[in-house]
Amino acid sequence: MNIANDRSLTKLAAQGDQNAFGELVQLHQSAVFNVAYRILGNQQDAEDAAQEAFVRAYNAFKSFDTHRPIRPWLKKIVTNLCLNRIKAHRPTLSLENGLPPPKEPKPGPEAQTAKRERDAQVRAAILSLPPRYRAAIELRHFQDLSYEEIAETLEKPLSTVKSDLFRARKMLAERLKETAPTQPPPNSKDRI
Amino acid sequence: MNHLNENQLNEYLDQMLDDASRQQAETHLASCKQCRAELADLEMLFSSLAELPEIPLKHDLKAGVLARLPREMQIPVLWRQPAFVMQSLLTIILLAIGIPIFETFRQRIPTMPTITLPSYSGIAAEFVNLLAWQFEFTFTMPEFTFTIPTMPTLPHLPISLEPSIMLVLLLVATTLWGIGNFSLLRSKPEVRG
Repeated sequence: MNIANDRSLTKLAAQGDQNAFGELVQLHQSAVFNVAYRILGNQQDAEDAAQEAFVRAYNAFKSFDTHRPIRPWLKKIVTNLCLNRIKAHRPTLSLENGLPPPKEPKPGPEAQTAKRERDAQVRAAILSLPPRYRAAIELRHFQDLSYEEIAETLEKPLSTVKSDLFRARKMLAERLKETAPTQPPPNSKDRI
Repeated sequence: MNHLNENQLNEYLDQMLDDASRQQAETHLASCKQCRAELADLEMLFSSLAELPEIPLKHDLKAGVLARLPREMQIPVLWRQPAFVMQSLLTIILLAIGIPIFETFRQRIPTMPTITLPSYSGIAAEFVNLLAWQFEFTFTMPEFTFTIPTMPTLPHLPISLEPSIMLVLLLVATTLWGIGNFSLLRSKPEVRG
């Protein structure tokens, strides 16, 4: 991604240039969609949420500092949007309708198949978490926010965020251990 | 030393411990198999999350997003500045045409309030004085003739406008119009979901 181009598009879009905003959508739609997909677990719901997030971003440009990168802001918007949807009991699926299509058109070698199965287990495990835990995992591991930034995004006390994040990890680790591996984990040999 | 608790293990992996606490934790981990096992579980989780691939989008969202944006923002950015200037010019033209019409209308109806309007040459002269230009000129406006029907009797209210006041009013009206339109062109309706 060309950062200079991204910033100039952001500035134009903030002034109301819809063509520039369209280009921003194309640049960031995949990242925004994936945040929604990890939280909602359903392709259609995630596309809807991503689309809605872009519209909200456009209408909230007045509150955005265009000197900052836009992608983290878009991810924050879609994260909160998805959490609100879950709170409002909008339907989300748990990947039971089938996993998204793999990037490879045909099943690859055994290792690739095993990797895809493992990824599916990880996604399912994330979706099995309570929404607040899911949000903590999303923000820390996929959006790389600090504890303080997560607290700010979710509007929760720092202690609550840490507690949620650590419990979420514990639950995830246990669930993945249950479903898992016949193969050794990546860094499982004695480290010290 | 006691075992590392959940917070210490997590903050160690998140690199949130200060130097002293990190060193303490590493010293303990070197000698404690149980804490190393817990750490390894968390590391495996971190690794699984880090390696989770992105899902490809099935549809381009651009068209759908653009279709939902407010129509008010269709004016291209490059056009806004000229639009602002054109609005101002339009205001001046409308006033320049409107004042003679009003004056003609007033003259045809003796019962209308008496408003003595300055001539355009008077207004222009004020403008020239304002800018302190050092030359003389004659400013003549074309005459307009209108046929006004008979109007009912209205109260008599004598008002006299000096050229300088008229000039100020023109400038104020133009500025207000311009500011209003400029802000209108820039504004975006709030859409909160």
